[in-house]
Amino acid sequence: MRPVDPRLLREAPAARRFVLLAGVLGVVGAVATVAQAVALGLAVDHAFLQHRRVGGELAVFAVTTAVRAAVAWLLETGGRRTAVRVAASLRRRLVAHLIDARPRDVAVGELAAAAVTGLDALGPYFGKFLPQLVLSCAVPAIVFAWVVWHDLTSALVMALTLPLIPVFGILVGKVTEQRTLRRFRTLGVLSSYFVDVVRGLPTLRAFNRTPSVADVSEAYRRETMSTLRIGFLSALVLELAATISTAVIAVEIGLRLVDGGIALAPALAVLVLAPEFYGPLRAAAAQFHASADGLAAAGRVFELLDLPPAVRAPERPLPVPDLRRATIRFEALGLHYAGRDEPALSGLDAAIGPGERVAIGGPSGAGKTTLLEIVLRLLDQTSGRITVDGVDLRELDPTAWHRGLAWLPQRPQLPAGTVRAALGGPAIADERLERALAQAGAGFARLDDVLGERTPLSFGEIRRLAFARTLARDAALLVLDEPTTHLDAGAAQIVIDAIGALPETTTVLVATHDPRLLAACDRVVALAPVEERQQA
Amino acid sequence: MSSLRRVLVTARPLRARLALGVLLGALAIGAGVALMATSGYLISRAALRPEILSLAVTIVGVRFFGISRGVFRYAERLASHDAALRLLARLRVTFFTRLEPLVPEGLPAETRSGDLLGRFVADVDELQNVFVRAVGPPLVAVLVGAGAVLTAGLVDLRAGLVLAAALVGGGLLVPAASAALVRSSARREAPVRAALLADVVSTLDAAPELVVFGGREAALARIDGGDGALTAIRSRAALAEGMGDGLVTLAAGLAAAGMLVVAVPHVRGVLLAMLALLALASFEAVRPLPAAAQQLGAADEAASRVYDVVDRPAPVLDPPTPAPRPEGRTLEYGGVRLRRGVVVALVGPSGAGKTRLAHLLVRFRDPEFGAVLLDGRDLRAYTQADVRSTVLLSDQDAHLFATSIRENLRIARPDATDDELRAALRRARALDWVETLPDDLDTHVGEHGALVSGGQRQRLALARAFLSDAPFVIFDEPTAHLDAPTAAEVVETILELPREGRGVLLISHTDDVADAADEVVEL
Repeated sequence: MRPVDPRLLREAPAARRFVLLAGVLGVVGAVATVAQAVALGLAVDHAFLQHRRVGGELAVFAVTTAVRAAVAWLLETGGRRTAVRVAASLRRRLVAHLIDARPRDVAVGELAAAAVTGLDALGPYFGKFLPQLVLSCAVPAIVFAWVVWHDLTSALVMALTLPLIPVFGILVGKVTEQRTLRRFRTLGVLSSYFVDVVRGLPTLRAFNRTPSVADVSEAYRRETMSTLRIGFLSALVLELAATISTAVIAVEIGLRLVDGGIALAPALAVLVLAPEFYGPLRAAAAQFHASADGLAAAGRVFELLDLPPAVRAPERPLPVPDLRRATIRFEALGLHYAGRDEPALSGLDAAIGPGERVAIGGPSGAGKTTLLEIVLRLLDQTSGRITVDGVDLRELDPTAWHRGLAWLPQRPQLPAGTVRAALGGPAIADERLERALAQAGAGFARLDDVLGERTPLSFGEIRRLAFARTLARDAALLVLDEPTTHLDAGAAQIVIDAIGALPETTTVLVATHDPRLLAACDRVVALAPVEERQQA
Repeated sequence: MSSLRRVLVTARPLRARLALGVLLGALAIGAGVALMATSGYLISRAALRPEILSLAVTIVGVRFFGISRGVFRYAERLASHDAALRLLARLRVTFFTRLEPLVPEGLPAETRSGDLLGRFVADVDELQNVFVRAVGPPLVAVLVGAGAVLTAGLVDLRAGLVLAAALVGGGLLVPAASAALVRSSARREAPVRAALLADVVSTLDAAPELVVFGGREAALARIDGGDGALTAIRSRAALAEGMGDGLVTLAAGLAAAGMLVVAVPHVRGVLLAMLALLALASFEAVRPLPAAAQQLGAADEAASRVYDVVDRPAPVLDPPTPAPRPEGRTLEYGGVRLRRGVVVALVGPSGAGKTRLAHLLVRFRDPEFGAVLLDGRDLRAYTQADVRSTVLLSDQDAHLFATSIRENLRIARPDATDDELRAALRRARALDWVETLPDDLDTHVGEHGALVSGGQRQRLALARAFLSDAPFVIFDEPTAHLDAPTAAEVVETILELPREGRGVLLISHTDDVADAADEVVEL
């Protein structure tokens, strides 16, 4: 795994700026670290061996300490602020993209989690891991440069031991990887067990069963511990390499002090710097999880951003023919979702003249909604085509096509805000909106009401408001998906009456298996259920 | 922190293990402090150019501390994680035992939804980290800090006092301040985040309509607005989150400088380096404390959410001297009278209390008026176990566990043989399907039965009902999520039960099950 995702830097300018800032701050912090150690060495040397007052040295020590503290504060604060900005910009792009991509195989909850809670992981990534990563490059380099200048022997010890840390880390990692992977699978099963049992409690209680939470938790502990015993080995190697090297340097300097090979002040400075030399690398390694989580969150967003849009946009969009005169034809229309055994819709031929009221019939699962979604340009068919006055629907300007039609989905979602806005106002005049509310049997709503403000709307109320939205558009083509299911006879009659009251030129395409509604239509296009299609 | 205290009471039997973790943690950091202090002393002595032999003991000390630190740390990690996992096991058992009698009727209606139970599980899991991340580090810091102050104090009392003051400042005031700031911004942040999440969800839900009706820009603008508010709050919170590390670094430096200032006139020069390095190194114990303090607040909130759930009273209790186990001849409540060999349909619109009635009949709750009579005797006279082995409720959702089909069926009868399982599947008209599966009875149904369709799920629930030998079976909306042909088949299968002499109550919001029933009760 790479510690920095180049795509994250490429696509989030805030992240790029922060890496630059962190680089500068990292160098400042590293210089302050060296200066602090030198000041301490001088202070002790002068006080101890030369019996001088050391106010000046201690003042420098205090100032460099303050600089280090400020660098630490700025790095984490800056990193966390960057994370917020990067998350916001990724979120906006992701939501905008998902409105067009609309993946069918990922639940909305999961998409929203990727866009909101998932991106929280960027906080520790930018706030903790990246600063630590920058410091783990800057501090060892500058410390090493200073030590080379003043004490070549200690520099040699450092140069020999530092590479051991990543080398041993990788070796231990390679050896343990296989075992860890295998165990992770068992662990996954064991850790989801408790959730599963809690969710299934009503069923367990109904059957008088008590699950063995204790046994499974104990198994989970044993599995986890045997993973950790190996997992912690790499941390042990890091730790040992760092502290043993510090000890080696201390002893080696001590012996040379006795010989007079080095003075006390640089010797002390080297000693103080030895743990600083190894420290940042260890700290960065300790933040490994922050890095993995943050990059995984960003990676998931990029994966979703790479999804293709649900429908292909035409390269040169053609103008939409006048729907009040145009005939819509389905020609051998079919759709086969990737990965499914059976096509959702296959070989449909039909023509719908202007002003016709056509019902799409057939059992559930026969592809009624799929057909409507192709007409709505929410889906692309995989075979055949739809023509409007002879022109392939896919070549028409999609925005203009949408402007000419109105739709009532099975489960409508109304945007938050006023009823007026939800129905398409103020672009549509208030009188027309009110008429639509009355026709749709949604007289309970006033245009200035804010949706769901006082009491949440019932499903039936949302349906009626959505039907009012459909009627208010005065569209030439109405696409209605099961407009009467879950409605009692009275409410269903309101819908049927409203369809009857439409101007004669309005074309209606309605998916339904409600006999009352079927009777009100001119004609029924029946879709065959899947089994019959197989036989055919 | 009172909820957290109750968790720690649960942890009491583990205290030896938890103490071992703390001790090893203190030894690990203590070894690091000792390594620096001894090295400082070694170098100072060496600067006086003594005989090398006279340094031998100090050199051994330096080497010992250099090696032992890593070893102690490794042992500490294992000990404290082991203790944390044991604590998790205890917490799970404790809370599960208390949650069990509350399900489903003892919980507030909204908690019954899977999300809040999922939250419950996450909260319990969160509590395992309390010790490793929030309680352990302060104890380690106290031990290491006391050791460092004592050592410094033995050299020079004033230096010891300076170190103590700096450790208290860096280890107590800084974490307390940063945790308080982070908590207060988290409180302001929560509603803004929730609103943002809701906006994202409703925008994605409405995506097809945004495309058809327009309004995409308005929806994105709402999300931008929410993000703007969130960014403002988070930017301020970042100041507080970032301050911990910086201030601890500052406190460490000030401690070292302050100790030198007070010690130089009084202390032998050879000890000065040791004092300064002791001060710098001892702050390693303080460094994790700001994060620990933040964690402590989060853990307390998790604990109080968990106790909010499990502190509820159980809706039903077993009688002190239960009646003998019922045979299961009749089951009566209100207008419902169930006998063996008979199908009663209970129909009514949603919201009429059908599920509530089903829960009364298996004694998940007790009626406010009147009594449910099983074999003519009040249900409250029997143990719950006896009631539920006589009256089986087949739930609307028919939970499938993330395991094999075999284990899922054995919930109905743990000792069932494969032949018995196959017979039940055949009667539930699911055997043909199961036999086409790659692993037959061993086929895994996925989390929440994600790998099986709604119809197959109901058939497996039916197979469970066939396996159980309860004389009465209640089906709550068995056809709710099924298309018409599948629903008809499921109802037809249910009708097998009365043929073998069992009584069936069929609950539905549509009256299409009425034809199949011997008797129809409307709610």
